[in-house]
Amino acid sequence: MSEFGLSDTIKVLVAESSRNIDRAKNGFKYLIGAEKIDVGITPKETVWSYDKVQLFRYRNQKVLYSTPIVLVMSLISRSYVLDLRPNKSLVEYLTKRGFDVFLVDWGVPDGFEAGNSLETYTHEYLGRIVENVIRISGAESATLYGYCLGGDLALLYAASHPEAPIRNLVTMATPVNFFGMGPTVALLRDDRFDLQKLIGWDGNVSAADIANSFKLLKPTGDLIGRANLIENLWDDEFMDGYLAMSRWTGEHVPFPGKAFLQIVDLLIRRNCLAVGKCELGGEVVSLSSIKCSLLNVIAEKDHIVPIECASPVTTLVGSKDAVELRLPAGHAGLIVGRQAADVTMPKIADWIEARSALMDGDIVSRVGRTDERTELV
Amino acid sequence: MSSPKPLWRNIFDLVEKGIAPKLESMVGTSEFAELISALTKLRYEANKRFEETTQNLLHMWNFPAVTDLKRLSDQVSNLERRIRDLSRLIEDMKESQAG
Repeated sequence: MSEFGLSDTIKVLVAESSRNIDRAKNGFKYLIGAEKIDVGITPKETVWSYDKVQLFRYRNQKVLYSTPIVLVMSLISRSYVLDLRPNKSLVEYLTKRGFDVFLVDWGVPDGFEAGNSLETYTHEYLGRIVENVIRISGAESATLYGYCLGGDLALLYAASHPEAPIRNLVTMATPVNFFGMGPTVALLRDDRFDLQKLIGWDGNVSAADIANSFKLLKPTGDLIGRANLIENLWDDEFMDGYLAMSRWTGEHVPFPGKAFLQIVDLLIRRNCLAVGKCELGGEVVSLSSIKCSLLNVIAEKDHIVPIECASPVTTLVGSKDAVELRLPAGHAGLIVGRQAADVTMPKIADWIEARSALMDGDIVSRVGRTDERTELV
Repeated sequence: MSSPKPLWRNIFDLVEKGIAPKLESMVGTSEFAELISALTKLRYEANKRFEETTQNLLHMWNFPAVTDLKRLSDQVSNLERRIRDLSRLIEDMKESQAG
């Protein structure tokens, strides 16, 4: 009995020593900044660019579906989060499932973009992007897939262009009811707050202010992150994910000033998306004019876009095939991490697959189109 | 099998769980909104004063100030926009001629 206890103790000591060596190694690398991590490494090429907007197409030798997917990112963060690390990448997963994947990268705005309005993104850029995706892929229609504010851009584009060749629309962690958003958005809604004073010398809201606004939502978030880092310093896999995520959360981009003011006025103060009608491009745009199939993906533990902010999408659009998918994840957990790879990505890909055209021209219709709004479990 | 959390982590979690909800609810108060609003104004005014002061000093020595660079940057941006619009116009004209 005592012999077993001794060998057990030795095993624990050896394991702990090994962990301590790994802690020292990873800690040293982290401190001297040598642990720079590559992100967005799925092979791709820029197939179209316009101003600072780039359209990436991911290399795929085995495309099974002729309906391409166009991923639309938010305006305030880098697009590589959708292709963060190998085996933790939405782009990589969709490519492996046989989709022709495109990604919109808005670039890093400077003085040139300060005058970009919301319409510049929803009408001009997205219009040209969809046009070029169709031209390049040779498809008849595409699946538009927006993450966070990118989902709002996709919704507004689809609503203002009912004739656009959009077969499916996926919105993920996309706020529509801005009255339910956290304290940062509530601050912007407050009339006492002078929005002009947030605009920097280049005409944009600085990346630092964007980052700080997210920190306000979870004041102890940074501390928790540090504690997780210290606790798991020995774990190479954890370090890989931690460094990639902290690179992304530390690399916000400035928010184009004009678009920012317009979004605060329309979406945040007037809550126009929740009302269902928005004044955009000189006309009243209604989400009810969206008739294509829609999947609204909601993260149940999202502290940035809570459930009540994202859930009205399916009731606001005019689609007969409008589906809501709730997943037990956080805002970023929808696209990175084990939960994303095991649950989120397969469910979303299944939904898109069932509504995409096959390469030989057949329509995949494993899921029948229903007249009722359904909910995936 | 995952190893149990170290003692320091349990203490950290306990403290964090105690203060996080208070901090989060404080961020949502009207007083906090006023504080942020006042700090933003203060920062704006401080930047403005700094720019004015440095502008006077730099202009005395015939050096460009931040405000001059801003103006120049705006002009370049406007120029870039005009070039973009013109190229777009040319592209559209070419397309309509080809069509």
